[in-house]
Amino acid sequence: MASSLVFYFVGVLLLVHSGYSSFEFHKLTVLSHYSGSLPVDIVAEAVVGILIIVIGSISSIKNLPVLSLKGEKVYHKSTYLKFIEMKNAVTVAEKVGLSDYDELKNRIGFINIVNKRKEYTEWLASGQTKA
Amino acid sequence: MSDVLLAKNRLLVISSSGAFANFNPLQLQGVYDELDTFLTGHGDSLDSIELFTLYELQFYLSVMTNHDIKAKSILDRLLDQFGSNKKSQRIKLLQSIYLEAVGEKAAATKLLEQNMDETLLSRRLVTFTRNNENEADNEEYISTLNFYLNLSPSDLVAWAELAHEYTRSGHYDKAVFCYKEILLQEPHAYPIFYQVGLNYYYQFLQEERNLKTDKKDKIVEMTQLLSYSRDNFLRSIEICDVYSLSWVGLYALTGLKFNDKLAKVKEVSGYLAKNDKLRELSEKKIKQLLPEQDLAEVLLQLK
Repeated sequence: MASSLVFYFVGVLLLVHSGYSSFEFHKLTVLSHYSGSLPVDIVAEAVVGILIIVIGSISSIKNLPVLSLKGEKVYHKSTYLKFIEMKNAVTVAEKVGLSDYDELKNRIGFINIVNKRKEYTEWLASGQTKA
Repeated sequence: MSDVLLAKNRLLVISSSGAFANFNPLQLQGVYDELDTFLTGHGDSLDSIELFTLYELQFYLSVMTNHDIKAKSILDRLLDQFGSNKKSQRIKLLQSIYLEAVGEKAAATKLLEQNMDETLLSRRLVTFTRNNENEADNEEYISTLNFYLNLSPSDLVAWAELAHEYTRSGHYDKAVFCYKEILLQEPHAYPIFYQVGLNYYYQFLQEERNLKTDKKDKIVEMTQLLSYSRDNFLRSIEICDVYSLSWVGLYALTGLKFNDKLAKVKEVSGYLAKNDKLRELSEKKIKQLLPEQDLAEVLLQLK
């Protein structure tokens, strides 16, 4: 994140500088009745500034860590992009304790709420709450 | 990334995946407390979609942990926000779950029966035929699920529920059929390939228990079940090679005593040929994926 801020700072600085240079150039052409085109170094400075901002924004898109169901921090294998091949793409989800097919496993619409409550009551009564 | 954001994302994932439905009481209590603390401290910083998703989770957790007053207050808040939308099946479902939890089953049935075109609610109505006293005896529930699936054959969750019920009642061949229906629509569902493999394995164990003869034909027939089971475990691993349950299944299959009988049968030599290699590979992979667990403990996961 810090490195992308440096990119943004340098990129914006170059853009502002090239903009000011362009403004100065146009003022000068009006005063001196010069009809030439914008100098190449000002155009190049603007292009380099934009490129640096783009690089900064791309480098700021990083895969962030996630908390697993057990509460442990899980990091992605790849820093910037996610894997395309399914075998690799599902690795992080498995580490977190999830999959794209959890709906079929958990079946919340079919939950047996009566038994779940009974199970919880029995657990409370058994005194294992601190286990 | 701040801890608050991590905690929020975790709670949202628990809600969207429905993972809480399979939590044990200790986990339920833990998440209930965590969510309560989170909403008290950071509820104001959430956008409306996140907030109401977490309220829905809090409702389910409150009902499951017998916090009925809390559940009712969340339900009222959700009704205040969305109650004007009479077509919302999601809200009606929550209402029916609350009514069922507090013992007002008749009122819940009435609510769910209002419009038979509301699939989500009809599906919930099916669960009312479940035998809560004896879960192994669920013939009526199974026949109602079959009736529902005749009307709504593309409901994969219902197929998964039916398969689960068949597995529980020992009809492993029928469970396999249900899981295969899911695979027709979700051909990369590796947990379902594992379930197919597991049910073939259970079917094999069932037949092995009843085996009274050492006739070659019967042994070949049973080896076919093992072969199907192995193929499905391997397909699951092919899609997701860190899915530990399939590796455990493979390890269990390759270590069966029944395999000793097969050495004398020429017809199944092809099945046996790769057994040793697969056993070695599965053992290595299980140690890698589940380093803290003993192999004997790991096998209990299949029970």
